[in-house]
Amino acid sequence: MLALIARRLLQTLTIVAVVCTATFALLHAAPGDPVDAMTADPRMTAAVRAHERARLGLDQPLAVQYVRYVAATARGDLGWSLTSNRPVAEAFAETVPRTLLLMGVALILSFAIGIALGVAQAMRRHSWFDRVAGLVSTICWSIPEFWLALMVLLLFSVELGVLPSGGMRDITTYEFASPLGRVWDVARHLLLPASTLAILSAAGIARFQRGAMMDVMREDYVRTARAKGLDERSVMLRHVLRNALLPIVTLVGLYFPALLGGSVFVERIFSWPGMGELTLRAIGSRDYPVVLASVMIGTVLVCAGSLLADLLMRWVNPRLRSA
Amino acid sequence: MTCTRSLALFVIAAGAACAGDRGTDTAATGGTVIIAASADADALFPPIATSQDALAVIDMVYDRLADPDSIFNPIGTADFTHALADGWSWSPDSLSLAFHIDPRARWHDGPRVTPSDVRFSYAVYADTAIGGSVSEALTNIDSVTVRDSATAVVWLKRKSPHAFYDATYQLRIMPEHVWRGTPHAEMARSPLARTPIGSGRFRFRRWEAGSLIEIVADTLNYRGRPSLDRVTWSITSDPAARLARLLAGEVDLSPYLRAEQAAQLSGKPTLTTLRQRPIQVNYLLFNLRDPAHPTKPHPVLGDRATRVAITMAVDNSALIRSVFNSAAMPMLGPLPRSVMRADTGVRPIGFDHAKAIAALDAAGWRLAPGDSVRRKGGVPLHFSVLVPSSSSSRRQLAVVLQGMLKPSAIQLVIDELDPSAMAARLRAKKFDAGFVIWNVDPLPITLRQLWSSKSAGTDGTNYGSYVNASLDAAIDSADTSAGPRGSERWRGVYQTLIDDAPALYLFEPPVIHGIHRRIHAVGTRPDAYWAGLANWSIPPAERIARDRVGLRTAAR
Repeated sequence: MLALIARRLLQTLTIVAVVCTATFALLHAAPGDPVDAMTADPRMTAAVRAHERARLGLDQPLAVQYVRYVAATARGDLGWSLTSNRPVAEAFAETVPRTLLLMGVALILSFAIGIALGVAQAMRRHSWFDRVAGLVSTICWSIPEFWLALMVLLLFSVELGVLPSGGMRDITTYEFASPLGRVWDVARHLLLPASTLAILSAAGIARFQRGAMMDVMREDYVRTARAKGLDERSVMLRHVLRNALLPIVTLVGLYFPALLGGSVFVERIFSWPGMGELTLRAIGSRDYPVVLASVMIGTVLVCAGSLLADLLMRWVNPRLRSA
Repeated sequence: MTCTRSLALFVIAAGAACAGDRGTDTAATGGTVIIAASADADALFPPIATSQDALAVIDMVYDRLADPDSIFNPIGTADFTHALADGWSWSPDSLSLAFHIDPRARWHDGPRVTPSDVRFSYAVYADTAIGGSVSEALTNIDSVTVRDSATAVVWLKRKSPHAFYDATYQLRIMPEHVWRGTPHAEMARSPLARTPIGSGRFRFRRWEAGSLIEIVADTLNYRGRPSLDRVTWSITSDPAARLARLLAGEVDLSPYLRAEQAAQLSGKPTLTTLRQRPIQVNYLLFNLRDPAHPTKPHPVLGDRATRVAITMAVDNSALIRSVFNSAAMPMLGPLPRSVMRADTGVRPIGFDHAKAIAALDAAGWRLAPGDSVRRKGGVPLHFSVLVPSSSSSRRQLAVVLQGMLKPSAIQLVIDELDPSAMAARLRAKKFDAGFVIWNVDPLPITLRQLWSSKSAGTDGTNYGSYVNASLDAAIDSADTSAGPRGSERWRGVYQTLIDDAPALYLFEPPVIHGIHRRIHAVGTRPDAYWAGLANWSIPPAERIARDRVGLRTAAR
């Protein structure tokens, strides 16, 4: 197990290095730079821009900028955000936990909903419920996340007024609330963005789960269980579901990057102050240090998700452990 | 015990906010305004802040020596009000201004504001090591000296009708005692730059990056306590989400609504709109030089007669109506109406299809039978236009414009680009035409930066390379003239820029903010909807639960 983790860490380092180098090259190849992205102010003359470029080190040859970037990153210095005027590490130290909270809740919700729906469909296979649930899953799977986010926002916040429309907590009351009240406040603000992400992912998971259940149901040991006289519920839950969960576990690793990508738009619509929102703003203003750090952290998170899926697989499947 | 009980009572009261109930408080002051900010502040350090929301916070926390009033006339001193200075006097030669600092003025951390703070602030602003572009706006200030314990003197390089504006508008006075010991080059990165201490009528309270910025009333301020208790900018990047939060009642003000968004507020009993005069120029800039061979004129747009014909072929009013309905106004010339001396007596080139056709024929652009594009010497009457992909209104404008030019057999190709990529193309002069927006000072002299021959060089903002030596001289002459003679000279400058058609002057955008009706917003200025924020109020009878939070802060 330790050897696996060490090997995967080494792979992660290589992947991060390659991805960051490619991102660095692509960012600098794109037309425009952070100084070009500054305001529509006619006072921003070429002299001022040249001064700004020199101040930000953008006047140096690309190779020099790259070496400086690698050396700083190796020292743990992610640089200075050009748009928010603070250390990049500080910006991500604030935003990554918020994004992980959003993604974690969305991941739990999506697997809970997806597995439950997939099991229910498999247990009532070829019924009207199965067909309707399948259709709804397909529709949800096809909806763009930003559209769904806007619809959810309009319905639950504007029309019904039952949930907050944005932010991570109530601006006015949060700081006066009790610890429990604060948790409740964050949970209320989390519900819409996390549900939006979860609905989209759950649709796919439900289809996988249903398919896995149908495959396992054809196995000999299931037939044997039925022949022993076990009731259908016991067969499904004890024999079919436990074995059908194995392929679903691998989805944790696959859904992690998908959720990370989806959270960018969802964070924007719901004003969730996370990493996605920070990155989107940085891309628009060519904030190179933030974009590079975001790509690096995103890559690490995706690799961590993949490693987590591998470890979970080994935990739930003894055959892999012995192998 | 008392504290715990009051907090518990507050939480109950705040809980009632969800039900939107009205309170019974009768205090003249009070209220909370939550503003949906489009982006987090870039900095709360005055010399480098550029984002609108950062400037709003800075204007509330810091003071100028004098403030322009809502007329926003930069000429003379009549339309300025006292701020940190309670009086000023000109030297006989009009080359220095003595500002008497209000003796009651105090920094939010206690010490008195002194003339030395003024001198210090100018030194910081003028230092290019700080970064930012504001130092360019202070070029008419030679130095600032301290005359006595209450008087700062601003020395000017030259006489100008807008010298008072030059001396006061950009400069927010910062506390020397707070910044002492911090090298200028490190100020922008100092933690102090994120926790501003000023002398304004609001104090900075907190900045949670990416989430919110909050200011609260300075109750003992020398200029009087603001009516509101607190103002919070809640970061909401998405325009649709900003409107949704306003409609849901979670924010009180959603600035800079699109025209179609503003229409959605009609019929909402609790919401209304707040309009602001625009101070922005929007035009289709023509490149007069060939992008492939900059020493040669542009094969199509280098010819004045062709540019004038293209301008005549465009029904600007219809073009603007098609995108903004009646919300935007056509530009009359190279500057917006709100720039005080932008003369409305100028003669724009009007839409006339027949005349446009005749002018194109006369300029040698002929339409061969069966051809859809005019040609001259084999060169098609064809050009591309850069459009920022981030602007839905400009994308629509480009499509309508393309359709408008077709009947005149002029071919327009739309080239959509990411804004920073487009800025890079404009600066490199690698374009035929492009939609350009400038936020301008309220001064006609802005035209020097936009259109002078000097600005047409590689270091200027005259990206279209329009060069006219007589215009340069006319601008210089107009800038040093006051009164009716100055107006007349500026009118000549505007007319030249219309007649030479280096750009198709398009529209003055609608500046509309959505706001809750309970807020009585006063004193907006073309450059700042927040200019009168310290005088905004919420009548006691109309306050909702969040207005009753007061100035309390949670125990930490």
